[in-house]
Amino acid sequence: MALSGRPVGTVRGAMAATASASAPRDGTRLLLGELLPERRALVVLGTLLVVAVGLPVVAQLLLGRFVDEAVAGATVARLTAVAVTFGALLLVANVLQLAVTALAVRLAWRIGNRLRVDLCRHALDLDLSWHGEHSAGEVIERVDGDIEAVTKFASTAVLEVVGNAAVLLTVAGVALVVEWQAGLVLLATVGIAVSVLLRLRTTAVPAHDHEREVLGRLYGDLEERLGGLEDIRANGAGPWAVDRLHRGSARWWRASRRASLRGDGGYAGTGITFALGTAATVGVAAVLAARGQVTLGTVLVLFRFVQMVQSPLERIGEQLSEFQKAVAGIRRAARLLGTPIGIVGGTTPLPDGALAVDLDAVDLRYDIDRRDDAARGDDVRSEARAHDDLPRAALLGVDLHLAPGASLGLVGRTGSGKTSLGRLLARFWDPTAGTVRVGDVDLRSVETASLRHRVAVVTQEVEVLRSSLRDNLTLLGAVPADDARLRAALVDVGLDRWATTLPDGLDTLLDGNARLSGGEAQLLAFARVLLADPGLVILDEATSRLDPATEARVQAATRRLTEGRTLVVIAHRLTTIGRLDEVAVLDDGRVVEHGPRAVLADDPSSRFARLVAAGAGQGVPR
Amino acid sequence: MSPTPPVDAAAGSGREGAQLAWRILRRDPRAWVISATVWAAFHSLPVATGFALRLVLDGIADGATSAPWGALALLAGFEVTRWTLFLGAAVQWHGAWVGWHTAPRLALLDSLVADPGPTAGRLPGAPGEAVSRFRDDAQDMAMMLDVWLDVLGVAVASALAVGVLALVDWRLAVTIALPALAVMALAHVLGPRLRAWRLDARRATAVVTGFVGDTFGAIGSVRAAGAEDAVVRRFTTLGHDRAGHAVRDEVGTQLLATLSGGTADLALAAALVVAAPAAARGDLTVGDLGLVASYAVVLAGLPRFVGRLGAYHRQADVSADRLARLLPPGRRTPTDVAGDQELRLRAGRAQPADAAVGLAPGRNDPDVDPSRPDDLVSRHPSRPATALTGLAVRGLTVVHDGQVVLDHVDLDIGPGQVVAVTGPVGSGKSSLLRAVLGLIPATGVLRWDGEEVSEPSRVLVPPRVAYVPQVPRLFSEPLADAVLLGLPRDRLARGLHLACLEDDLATMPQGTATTVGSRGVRLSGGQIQRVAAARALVRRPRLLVVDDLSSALDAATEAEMWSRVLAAADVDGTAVLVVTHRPAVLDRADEVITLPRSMQ
Repeated sequence: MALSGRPVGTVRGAMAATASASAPRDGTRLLLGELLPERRALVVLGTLLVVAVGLPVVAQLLLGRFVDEAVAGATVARLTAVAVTFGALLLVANVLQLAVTALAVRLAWRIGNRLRVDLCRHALDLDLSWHGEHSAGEVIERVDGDIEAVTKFASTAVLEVVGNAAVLLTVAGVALVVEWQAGLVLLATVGIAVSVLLRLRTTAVPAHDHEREVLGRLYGDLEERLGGLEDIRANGAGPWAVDRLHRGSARWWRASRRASLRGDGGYAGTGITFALGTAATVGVAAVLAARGQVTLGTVLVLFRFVQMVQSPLERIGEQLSEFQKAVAGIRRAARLLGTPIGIVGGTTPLPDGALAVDLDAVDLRYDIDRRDDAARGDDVRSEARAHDDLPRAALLGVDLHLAPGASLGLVGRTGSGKTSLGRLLARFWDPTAGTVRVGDVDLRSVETASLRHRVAVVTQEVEVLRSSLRDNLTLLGAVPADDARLRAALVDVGLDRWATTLPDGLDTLLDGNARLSGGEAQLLAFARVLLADPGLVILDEATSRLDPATEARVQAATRRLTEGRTLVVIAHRLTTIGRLDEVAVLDDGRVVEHGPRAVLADDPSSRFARLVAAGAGQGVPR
Repeated sequence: MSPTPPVDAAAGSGREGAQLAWRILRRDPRAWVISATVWAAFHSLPVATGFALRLVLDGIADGATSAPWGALALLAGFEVTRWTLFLGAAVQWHGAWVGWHTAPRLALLDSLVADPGPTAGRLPGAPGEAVSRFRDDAQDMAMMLDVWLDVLGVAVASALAVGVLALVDWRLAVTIALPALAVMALAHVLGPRLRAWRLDARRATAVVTGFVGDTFGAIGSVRAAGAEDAVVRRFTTLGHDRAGHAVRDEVGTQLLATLSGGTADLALAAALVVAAPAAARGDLTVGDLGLVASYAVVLAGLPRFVGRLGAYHRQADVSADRLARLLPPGRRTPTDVAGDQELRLRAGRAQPADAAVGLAPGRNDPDVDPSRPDDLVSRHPSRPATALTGLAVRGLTVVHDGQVVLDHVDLDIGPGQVVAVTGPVGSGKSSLLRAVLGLIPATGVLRWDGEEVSEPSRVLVPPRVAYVPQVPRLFSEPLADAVLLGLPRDRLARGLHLACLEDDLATMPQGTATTVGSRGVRLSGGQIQRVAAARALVRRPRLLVVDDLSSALDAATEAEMWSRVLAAADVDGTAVLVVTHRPAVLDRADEVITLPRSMQ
C-alpha cells in the first residue's frame, strides 16, 4: 500500500478499518507496499548480491583441489596458480559486495524517507486529542526513531540476512553436488537451525516491543524534563527529576535483560544445533574418507562449507536484534498510520465574506480515544486513563446564533466551557450531540482546507516555531504572502518597531520565545490571522497577557481585524470585550445569558452586569 | 531551519571519546570485566575448535579405517560450550549496556537541574534535539565500550590463533596477520574524511528531529493555519538533505567494514601461496591446512572489529564533545560527564523493576523533617538563617543579543512585603524575575538576608524562593506528584487549597492520582497555572515569585487565589514578587516597580 501517491482520504478509511484488527500483518503489508515501487532496484540489487555471494562458494572448491593436488604431488607452480585463482575470485566478490552496499543504503533511505513523510502527514492530520496525549518527543520517536530502526535494518542488516541466506542455499546446493550424504546432513542442520531462528522471532518480538515502549516512555519523560528545566530548577525539583530518570532506567534494565534472554536464548540454541551439525557433517565425511569414497580435499571443503554456513547464521543472529527492532518499528509505524482520524473533512467550501455562527443543542464530552492504546495493550497508558471512562460534559445544550460580521464576547469562570466552545467553532473537536454551523454549513461537511482558510484561531498558547519570522508569519509558506504584505501585517498589529530591531529582518530566526515576550508572541499570532484573511476569527483568551499599553494597540488591531469578519472573543478581562456587539455568559457548560452587550451591561440584574461589577472591584482583600 | 551550534571538532584532543568511555567503564568496572572475560572466551573457543579439526583431518589422512570419533566429540564439545557461554554473556551484557547509558545520563541531568548558572546556552534549543543528546550520544559512548569488549575478545582469539599457527610455520602466521594491520592503516588514513561526513549526517538528523519536535510542539498553530501541506513539504526537503548526508556517511563506514571482511579472505589466499612450496614438498599436512583455513576465519574478526573500533571512536569523539557541552564551562571533563551517582538498576526478581533505586527523594531523607520547612536550609552550603532582611537587588542588568533588556534595576523586598512589577510588553518584566532567579545571565548584586548571592540559581530556590512561570510546564505525572515533585505528601492539601484547585479536583474521578501533563488529562490554561502555583506554594518559600497569572485565569478565580495566598503569606511572613497588570494586586502591593519600555 503505497500511501504517498494516493488521495489521503481513502487510505485513511482503509487503514482505519483494519487498524485494530491485525497490526503485525499491517506492518508487513506496509513494508511490502513500500518495496513494491522499488522492484527494479531490488532486482539489480538481488542479482549483484547472488554473484557476490556465489563466487566465494565456488572458490572453496579450489581450496579442495589445492589439498588434493598437494597430496597427489603437484608442482609448486601448479599449486600457486590454484591459490592465485582462489584469491582473485574472492577479490571480485568483495568489490561486488561494496557496490551492493552502496545501492542498498540509497534504497533504504528512499523508502525510509517516504515512510517518514507518510507518518508525518498522518500525525499532522490526527485529532488534537491524540496530540494532547503524545508529547512532541513521542512524535519524534514515532515519526523518526521507529523508521530509523527500519532504515538501519534495510540498509545494512537486510543485506546480511538476505545475502547470508543466499550463502546458505548456495552452499547447501553445492555440497549436495560434491557429496550428497554429507550434503544432506548439512542441509538438515541448516533446516533445524533456521526453524529455531524463526521460532525465536515470534517469542522475542513482544519482548523487544516492550523494551521499546519502556524506552519510549523514558525518552518522552526526558523530553518533558529538558523542556521544563526552568520549572524544575526554580522548584528545587532536581533530585526528583534525576530519581525519575533512574527509575526509568531501572525499568529499561529489566526489560532489556528479559528481551535478551528470549532473543539471545534462541540464538544460542541455533549455535548449539550447528555445533552438533558440524560434527555430524564432518563425521559422515570422515567415514566416507576412511572408506576411500571421498578425497581429503573434499572433507576440508565440506568443513569449510559448514563454516561458511555457520558464519552467515551467526551474522543473521547478530542482525536479529536489528531485525526485531525494525519489525517492532514498522509495526508501530503501521499502528500510527492505522490510528483513525476522527475528524475527517467534508467537501463543501465555506462561503466568502463574514460568516454566520449557529450552534443548535450542542453537547461536548471529551471522550479520549483509546483505540490505538487498546491495540497496543499498553497497561501503563490504560491505567493512567482509566478515570476517563465517564467523561465530564464540557458543554451541554448550547444554542447560540451570531449574524455575519457580528462580534461576540464569551465570558464565564475558568472551566465554564468558553475554550471548548471556541474549539468547536474551529472544528478541533466535533460536538457529541447537536450541530455547529458556520456560514450556514454544518462544520462536519466543510472541506478542511476551506475551514482552515476561513476560520482563524488565536490559541491560549502562542506557539512560536524555531524558524524565521517569515516562516512564523506564513507558517512555513502555508499562507502565501510577499514581504510587503508581511510588513503591512506587522505594522497593523504594532510589531513594526519590534521587527526593525531584528538583525536579519524577516529572516531572523525566532528561537522559541527567546526573542519574543508573551505579549509580542500574541501580537505575532494576530499578524498570522491578518495574513490568513478569514471570515470568522476566534480569539481564545488572546489579549489577556498584554499590559494596558500594548492592549490598546491590540484593540486597535482587533478593530481592523473585525472589519468584514465575524469575531468570537473568549476573554476573562472584561476590558477586552468593551467594544464587542454581543456577550454570552457561560456557566458549567451552558449558555446562561446572551444578548447585546450594551443592554446587558445596563441591566443591573444581568449576570454580565454583576460580573462587570465584580471585575471593577476585583480587589484582593487585604 | 535551526542551525545547530557548530561543533568544533578541532578543539578536542581527538581522544575525548575514548577518555569518556574509560570514565564510564570505571563507574562499574566489575560489569565490564565480567563481560570482557566471557566474551574473550566466546571469541577464543574457535581456536580450540580449529585444533580439534586438525586432529580430525590428520586422523583421516593417517589412513585409519574408522573415523576419528574422539577428535570429533572434542570438536562438538567446544562449540556447545561456546554457545552456552554466549547466552549468559548476552544477558549480563544487556544489563551492563543499560548501565553505560544511565551513568552519563544521570550525571548530565543532575548537572542541568542542579549546577549553578543558566542552562540556556548548554542545552540545544528544541527539546527534541536535547533528547537526542541523551539518547544517541549516550548510545555512542555505550557502543564504544561494547566495541572494546569485542576488540579485546577478538584480539585474544587472534593472538592465540597466530601463536598456534606460528608453531606450525611462522611464515603462515605472519601472512595471516598482516592484512589486519593493513586495514587499520587504511582506517587511519580515511579517518578525517569519515569524521566530517559523520558530523554532517548528525547535523542533518538534528535538523529533522528538531523540525518534527517544533512542528508537533506547535501543532495547534500548524493546524489552525492549515499549514499541514507546508510542513510536509519542508519535512520532505529536510529529509532529502539528510538522506544525502546519511548515505555518504553510511557507505563510508561500510567501505571500511567490507574491506576488513574481504582482507581476511585474501589472507587465506596469500597463505596458500606462501604454503605452496611446503605443500608440494609434503611438509605441510592436511590438518595444518585445515588449521590455516579455520584460523583465517578467526582472524577475519580482527580487521572487522578493529575497523568498527576506528569508526566508533570517531563517532564517540563527536558524541563525547556534545555531551560535555551539556555541562557548564569549566566542568566539561570526562569524569564529570561519567558522573558519580550510584547506579542502582538491579532489582530482585520478585520486586518491581525500579525497587533498587530506593525511595523517592523527600521520602527517604531522614535529615529533612517535613514539618520544618527550613530544615533544608541548614543542609545548604550558604550560612543558615541570619536576621531576615529579605532580598535586595542592586543594578540588575540583562543584555540579550546586544540589546539592553534591563538597565540597572534596584529592588528591595522585606519579609511579608508584596512588590509588584508592571510595564509595557517587552519592557523586561519576565526577564527581571528570571534574572533574579538566575535563570538567565545578568549582572548586578543580589543580597539574600544581607548576604551576597553569587549563584542565584542555586541559592534562590526552595525553600527560600519558589517561582510560578508565565507559561508553566507540567510533567506527565499524577497530579500529586506533578505538584510535589518529590516533597512529602502532607504538604499537598494546603497547596491545593491556596491555589483554589479543590473544585477542579472534585471533577477528576481519580482526584490527586489523575495524571496531568501531555500524557494525561487536558487541563485548561487556568488550571495549568493554578497547578503551577500549587507547585510553588507547597514548597513554603520565604519569597514567592509569580509571573503574570492573568494570562489564563479569570478575574474572579485569580482574585480568590490571591486572597488565599496573601492571607497565608501574611501569617507566614512570606514575601511576594509578582508581575501583574491587575489594578487590584497593584493596589495591594507595598511597592510597585514600573519598568520603562526598553527598546527604543
